[in-house]
Amino acid sequence: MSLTIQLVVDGIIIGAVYAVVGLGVVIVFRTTNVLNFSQGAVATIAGYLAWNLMEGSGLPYGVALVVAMLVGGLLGLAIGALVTFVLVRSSPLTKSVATLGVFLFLGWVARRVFGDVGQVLDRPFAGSFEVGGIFFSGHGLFVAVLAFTAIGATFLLIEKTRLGLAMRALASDEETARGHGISLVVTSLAAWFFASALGAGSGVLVGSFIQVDHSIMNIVLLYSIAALVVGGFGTASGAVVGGLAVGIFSSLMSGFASPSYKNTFVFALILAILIFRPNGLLGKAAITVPETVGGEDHPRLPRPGTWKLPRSVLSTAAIALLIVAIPFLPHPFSLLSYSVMLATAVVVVSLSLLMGYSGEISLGHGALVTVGAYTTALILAQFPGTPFWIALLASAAAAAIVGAGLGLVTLRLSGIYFAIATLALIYVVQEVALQFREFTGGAAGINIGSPVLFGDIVLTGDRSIYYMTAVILALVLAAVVVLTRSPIGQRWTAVRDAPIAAESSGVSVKSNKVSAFVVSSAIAGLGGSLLTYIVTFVSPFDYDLFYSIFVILAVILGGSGSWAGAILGAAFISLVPVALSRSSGLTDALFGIALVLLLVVAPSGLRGFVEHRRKRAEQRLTTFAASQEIDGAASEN
Amino acid sequence: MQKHAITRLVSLVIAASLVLAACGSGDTDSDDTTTTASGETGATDAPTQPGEPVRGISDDNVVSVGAWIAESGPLAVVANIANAARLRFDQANDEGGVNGYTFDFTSIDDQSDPAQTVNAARELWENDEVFALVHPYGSGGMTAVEDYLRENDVPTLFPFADSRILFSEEEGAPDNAYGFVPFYGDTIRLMLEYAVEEQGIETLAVLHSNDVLGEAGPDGASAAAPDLGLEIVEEIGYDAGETNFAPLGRRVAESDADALLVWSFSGSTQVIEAALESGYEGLLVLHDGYRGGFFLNSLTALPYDLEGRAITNVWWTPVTESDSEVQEYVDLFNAAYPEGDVNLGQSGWIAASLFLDAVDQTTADGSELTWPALKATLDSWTDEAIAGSRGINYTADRVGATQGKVRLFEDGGWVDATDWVTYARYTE
Amino acid sequence: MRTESGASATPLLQVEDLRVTFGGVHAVDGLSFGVLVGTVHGLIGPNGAGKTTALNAITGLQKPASGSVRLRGSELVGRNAAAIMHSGMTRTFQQAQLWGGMTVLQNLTVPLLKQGRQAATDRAHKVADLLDFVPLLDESADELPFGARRIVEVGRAVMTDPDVMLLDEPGAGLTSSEKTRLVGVLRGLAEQGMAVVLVDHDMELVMRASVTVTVMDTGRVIAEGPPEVIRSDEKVIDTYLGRGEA
Repeated sequence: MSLTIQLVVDGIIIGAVYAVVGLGVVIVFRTTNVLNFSQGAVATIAGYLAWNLMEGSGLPYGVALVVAMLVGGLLGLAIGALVTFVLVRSSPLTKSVATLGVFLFLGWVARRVFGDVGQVLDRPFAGSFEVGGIFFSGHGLFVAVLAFTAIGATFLLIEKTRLGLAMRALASDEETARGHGISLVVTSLAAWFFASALGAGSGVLVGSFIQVDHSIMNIVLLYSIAALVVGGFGTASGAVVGGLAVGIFSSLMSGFASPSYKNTFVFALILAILIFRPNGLLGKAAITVPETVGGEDHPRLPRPGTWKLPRSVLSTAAIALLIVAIPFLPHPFSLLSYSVMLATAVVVVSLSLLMGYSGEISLGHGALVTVGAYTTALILAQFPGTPFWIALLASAAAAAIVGAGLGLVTLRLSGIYFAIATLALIYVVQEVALQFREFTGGAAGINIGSPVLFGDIVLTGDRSIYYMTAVILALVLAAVVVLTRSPIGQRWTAVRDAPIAAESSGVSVKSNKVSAFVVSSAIAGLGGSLLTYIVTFVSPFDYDLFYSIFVILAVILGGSGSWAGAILGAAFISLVPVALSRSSGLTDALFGIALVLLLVVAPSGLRGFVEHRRKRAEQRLTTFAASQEIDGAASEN
Repeated sequence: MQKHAITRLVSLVIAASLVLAACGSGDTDSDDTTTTASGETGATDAPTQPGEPVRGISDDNVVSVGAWIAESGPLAVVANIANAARLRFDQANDEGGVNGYTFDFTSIDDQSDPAQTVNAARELWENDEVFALVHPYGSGGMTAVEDYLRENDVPTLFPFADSRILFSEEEGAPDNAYGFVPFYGDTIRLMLEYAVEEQGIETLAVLHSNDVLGEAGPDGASAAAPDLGLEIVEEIGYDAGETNFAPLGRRVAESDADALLVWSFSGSTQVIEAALESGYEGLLVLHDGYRGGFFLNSLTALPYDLEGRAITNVWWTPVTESDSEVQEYVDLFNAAYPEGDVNLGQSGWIAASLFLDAVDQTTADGSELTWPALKATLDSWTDEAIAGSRGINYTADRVGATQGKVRLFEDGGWVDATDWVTYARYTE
Repeated sequence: MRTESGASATPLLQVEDLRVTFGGVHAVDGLSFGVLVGTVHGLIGPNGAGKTTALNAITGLQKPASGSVRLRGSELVGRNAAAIMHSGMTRTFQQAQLWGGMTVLQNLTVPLLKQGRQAATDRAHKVADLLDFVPLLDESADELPFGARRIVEVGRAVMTDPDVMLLDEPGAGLTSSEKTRLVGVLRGLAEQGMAVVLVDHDMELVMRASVTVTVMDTGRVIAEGPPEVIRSDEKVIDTYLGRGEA
């Protein structure tokens, strides 16, 4: 019994920290509808800054905490300004994706400025004491007190101040609020500042309670998002209830079962709640997208492309020839890297298909790639002579099944909520790979020997793998072009362009959303299978959240619905890190900046750019022709 | 239309040049052959003729060696190892080389990410064409790369990884691999033996990370426990991303085990602290990383009195001892890297020294340096002791380190709890 | 309900006591009316009367709080929009919802995808001929002028040869000659046996096209009957004059 009480107490302490982080996310979300993914990075910077102040300048904990919170708040203000002013015409979903870019960039900044090593902050109260058989750690109590104070202060702000009132008004009905003179800009920026200061404070708390390093705050953020889902996304009290619930639950799980399983359970919990009770335990606001008329369709990402057949056969042939010829040309990177590039292109195509036809952001495509990669690795490890097409198909099928599962359970979700569900998938898949150690090799992953094409033909040498990958990519592209012109593709287009009209024309939005997701998953799984053949190794962490973000970047760079864009985007995200490999971390900074820039300047990517130029050229031609006519007509008179 | 024609022309030109280039240039990548790299490039046991180029050694006798060592990412402290190794090679070069050979050491940052380790290995072996790998770091990476190293017979010298990966009993050691780290299981057995004999422990709790390194903990403990009459009462594995250590500490305290074996890299001090916070009072059994520097500091920073309550093990002489060879390293390292961790870096220095020593023994009589010749030298070692290492013996198996020592926590540091002991496996 | 000949007949589409609530607002508050086969049935009312909401509830895009909608006797409430379409009811929207990425022909064929491309294309040609927009078939839908979009949308709703077609503000933005043509088309469709429910602001349009008119205000019916009768109904005049609507 005392163990249980002990564990509950522990859970409340860590839960309070999750709640504080969650509050930071909620405040911005409620006021601006943007999910701030960079919250964790700001907290990390704050934690390191506090450590620096305490170690380097000898400042006491309290002072370091306050300074770190101020800096964090200002940083948040800058991010908020970026999102509010520079991305002013983008949808909240697009803005949230932009914060992913900020997350990447700030992560690099933190590593550059503060180094890679984790640090533990000095604690003002150390040691532990016993009361009635229960051990309390001095610092744990201190952290809990600070966390609950922060929670209390936040509620005071929300309930009792004018700013809080403004935030609540904006959250419930933006137009009316603005009509009553509430400044969207000022309130939003104030929300960003306060929320980031809160997040920064939590970074310091975690830094002293556990440690500061470059991954921990992201994990805490994840748990806080879980807390928000549990408590009811979008309410402050939900954040608190959810945070405490997740903290206690995970603590009990750690104490009685295994610390390893608790992750699995928490993420499965997220998915379960998103399915059955998307409003969370407390949430009142309906978060599911009504399929009714009236509300506008959930805001989508930039204009999708349509997988047009290439206009010039010769330019296509030139690109194809180039790809075929790469092994024979002097190439700056190993052929292996180019093979990875082509396999990545397959993955990019899969996400491009999804984003183009459903307008959804999937943060979880890495999970589908992982499923495909492991399927092939497991098959090859058990049955080394398996012909390649069996492994490829099996991987596609496995990923399709997972995709179908996720698609079915997230039918009522869209936008941010769908994105979170896909995020949860990444961690669920990771956990499964970690836990079923006997099959999957656990953290060490699976190694396959030299892969085999059929029976006796061994795939040694990079060239044969390169060509195999190129052929598969070509087949995938051909299949996509055919598919998008088929009745299935037409239904997808109908659902994308005007879902209500589609529904009223007998095209079921739900089943087509699922079918789009299933096809996308199958292709992603295929990509994963290819990657296993190329890299001959798979681990649970290879295709993680970062990978998924990079794939999103590739889709946006190339423009969805464009095969050339997909290849270009894939080339960017797979070759740049290789080029930069000896000065690591720079990739993150570059990609983060690239993502934000693209969203601001060219959200439809390269494809959009090319189409835009073409339209302009055509317009000029038409105007020219028209003016010729007029001149001609005039001269005839 | 004119635009169209130009596009057509350009495309034709590009296509034509591609075809020409394809016919012309050779191929620098590994080819569709079924022979391994050793068949192609000469790193076999067949002796090369004098005057023939030796892989990895340039015409002016610069020996190219390399390793993957995390310099960024969560294990970035390990960069100290690369620095120390490079320091040793630079020292040798500054002294005019070894019997006419100078050395070029390349370390590739794999960020302790096994996927990147695979790339690093290929790059070193296929692009940089090194003579040998010297002291690559990381158990996770080694697991990923093992097959590749075996298939290509890559000379792998003194890797810092759990030896049971490369030197596994089922598969046998690869021909060209020579170890550095004793089987972690042996070091665990050594410490547990001491704990049973000197401190009379009967029950053991094991706390470890869920990764290749961490899993050696419970495996080693359960291998040794029956022989020592030890009962394992609790085993907890946690993930790298753990944020809530308190429950783990509670479970340890609840188990009331006489000793606690902690086997992990990240989060290890946090779990120790969590256990102590929960009132755990038994003996702490810690991996060799705690011998000094980063880990030791974090341990002593804890507000708990660990006097006589913690043990660790070493298989070379640590920097705190007044061994002259070791002190030479300490002085040089601290001069070059005042902010660095001289404790952590030490293995790099030792590994480099071992290599240079082997080169010296091979070429002292004027013989040419080739891999088979070096290999023969290594095979002859029965009790080599360089730069602090001891008892390096490659005649039994090629794991190398055959002796270790248990150290006890006293006065904020470590003192010898035993003398040098040969691991049980080599005395049977 | 009486047909023109005076004999009573069972309505093809029967709406009974339909109620739709948003928050505390009763957008549709006990709406009842019936539509006979082969008639154009107008549904008018001032802004906020609940017409579009009623339409949404009838076509399955909005869940009613209570009430029933029966098509040939079978209950539609609770079914989703796609199922309702397959049962024989189609509709158009206030903002013509064409699929911009497709051509007019492709837009038309979507409802008939299940029957195969050839069958769908043939039908599309027939419909385009009927509604007189054949030259537009290969145009991209998002490049159509406004009036054309509306006609195409009507065409799409006709593709499956529905029993009932509900049109939401089809006249908005049309020129008067286009409106005249529309009236002709609707009457023609009714003569061929289709029931058409026509919701529009333009009283003249509705009066010219419809055989029966139902007038809504604040979510319920305030008058119903042939156009001439409705035109001079006092309640109706009050409602419109009182609101300043025409």
